[in-house]
Amino acid sequence: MLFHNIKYTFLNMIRTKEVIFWSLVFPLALATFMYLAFGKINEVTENLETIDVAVVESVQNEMFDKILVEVSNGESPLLNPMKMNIQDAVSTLDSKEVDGIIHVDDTISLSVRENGLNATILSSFVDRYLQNEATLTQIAKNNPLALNSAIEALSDDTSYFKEEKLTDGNTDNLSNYFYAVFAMSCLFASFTGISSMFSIQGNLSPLGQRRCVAPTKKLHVVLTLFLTNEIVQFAIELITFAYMSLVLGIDLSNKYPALFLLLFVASSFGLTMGMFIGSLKKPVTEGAKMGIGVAISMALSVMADLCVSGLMNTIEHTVPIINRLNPAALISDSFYALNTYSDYSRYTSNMVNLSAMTLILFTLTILTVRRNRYASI
Amino acid sequence: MSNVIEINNLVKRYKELVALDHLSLEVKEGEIFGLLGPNGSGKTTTINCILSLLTYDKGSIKVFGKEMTPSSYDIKKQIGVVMQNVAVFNELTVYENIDYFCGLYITDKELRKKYVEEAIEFTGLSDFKKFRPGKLSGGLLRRLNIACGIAHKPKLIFFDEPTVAVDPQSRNKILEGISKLNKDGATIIYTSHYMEEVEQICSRITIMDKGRSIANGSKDELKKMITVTEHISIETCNLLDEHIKELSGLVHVYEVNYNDNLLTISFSGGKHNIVRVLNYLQEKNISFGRVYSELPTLNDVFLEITGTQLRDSL
Repeated sequence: MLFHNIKYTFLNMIRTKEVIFWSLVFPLALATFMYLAFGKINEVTENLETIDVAVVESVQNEMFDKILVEVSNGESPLLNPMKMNIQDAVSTLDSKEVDGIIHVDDTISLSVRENGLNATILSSFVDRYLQNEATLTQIAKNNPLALNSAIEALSDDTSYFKEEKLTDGNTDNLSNYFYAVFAMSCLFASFTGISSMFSIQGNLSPLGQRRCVAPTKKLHVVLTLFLTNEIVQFAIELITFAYMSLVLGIDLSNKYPALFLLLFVASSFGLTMGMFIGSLKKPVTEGAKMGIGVAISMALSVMADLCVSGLMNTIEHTVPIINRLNPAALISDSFYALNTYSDYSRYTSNMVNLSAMTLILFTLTILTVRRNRYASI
Repeated sequence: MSNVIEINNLVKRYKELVALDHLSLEVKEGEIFGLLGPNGSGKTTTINCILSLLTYDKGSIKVFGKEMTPSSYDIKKQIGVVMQNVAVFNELTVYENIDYFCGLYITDKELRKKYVEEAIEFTGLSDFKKFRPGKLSGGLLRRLNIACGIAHKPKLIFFDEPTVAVDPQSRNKILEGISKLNKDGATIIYTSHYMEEVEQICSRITIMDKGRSIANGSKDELKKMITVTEHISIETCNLLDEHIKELSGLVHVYEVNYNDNLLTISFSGGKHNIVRVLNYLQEKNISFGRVYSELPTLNDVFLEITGTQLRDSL
């Protein structure tokens, strides 16, 4: 009888367009939208073009010459200096063939025709040289052999911090959005849970009445619904995962067994949450219960970084217990833990919490609906 | 014949409203038992209590000699229910719906297949096996609802107003089908507020009003409970008050009404009442048109017992 029930519940479910839309199409569409909005943000790099600049030498400045040679070499040189007399320099500046004129006299000065990025870079370059000119002169005087390395150091941006990676995993903050989409997708399984509970309760639907008068134990009925819905929901999560990782190319970890277990437990939780809401005596309309399901799912997902990145982290630092009890945060954090850390302790802790909550809700659902006689129909 | 259902002093309250007021009734094996009453009289509540869907405040219910509870699975196996509202899956076909509900009772696959085919044949849905409910007319949908309730060949079948919003042709087919199920051995509980249907198919009837059983028996027994035995209606005109008075004095006349050129006389007993009335009209040279004679209906029974027309109460 179990197979018989599963077969027809499954057929009914996959033919219900609303279920497919909310459980599959909506999360996929949201993930695609987020991908288009944020997905490429880290890939954007600014390619600066080499700046053409006229150099007018009134006096010979060996040190500055060396600096110019240094910044005009390499794969993407900063400057393309062109030595010329003042008339040609002004003419090329007027015709915008160069972005500025560097005057090499007793001191170094710069002329530009208009403000802009290139003018700002040229100005910074000259300012930086002038700030370090005294130092370089001193080095040339005391230790001429070190002059070249000093010039190289000057032409590079030097950072005094060393970046140490604690993990080989993905530490991209934007991934949090996609983890939250997954959490939301799993919690949206609650809609099918709510809907299916309507079809087994005599006080809520004619179908429920018909099922209540049949010689079938409520535990059996609820279990059938759970198994069927879970099969469909798990398949939906796998499709969502495949779409996000294979089509959108989002890095969601490659620890597949742990990942699939997470998807299974997470969708089980969403489903059970819906079944529990559906089993409550009030409110009695499906619309009102769906409203509760949507509100809870969205609120929990928002707290798990769906809309505001960093909210989950803020909660973690202020009221961490909320993150331990928020299933969306547990799901999202499990993705994060799998994708970031090489050990499974954080993931395991989240899974235990999520499984325990699922079990509690399932038990409460059974207790609510079993052997029910209704006060009114 | 043994009792299939025994209800004793059943009381069901919805807060202040008493839905069932110390209701007692018995349904015997093999009969078509009618529960007749206006909407809100407690018919569906009675059925839902019997089926253990509703809690009740007082009384006892036994089905097949055993107390009925939500976990009385052995009793439930022998019961079929055709709900007032159509209860099917909209995304399953006609065949799949019947097979699903039959499968809740019959686990043997081959037997179930046979039963499903028979139910489809019985309800005349053979041409619509692959249709989904959304594609069926109201009458066909009702028939599908019936097929889902009876496919497992139950011994006791509840029909809760199965002909509501059904065209006359489908209604007749449904009533014929119910009679056939009864002939095949099923005990039927039939509720309706259409007295003609109840009169047509039920062997025993309980009339309900305000949660109480106000009369119980076969249709003939019920009709014998009331004073009026015959109604005669005659189309006539120019009838004077003195004629009405004289007609009221005829033997066995219970009540005389004259409205819109229609003379209606109710009799309490007597034979050849129509002859006496027509003789009187001829004697007085009063011309008349069509003449009707009607035996009392269950509506008359309801009217006399409650003081209101059954139809007025709907």
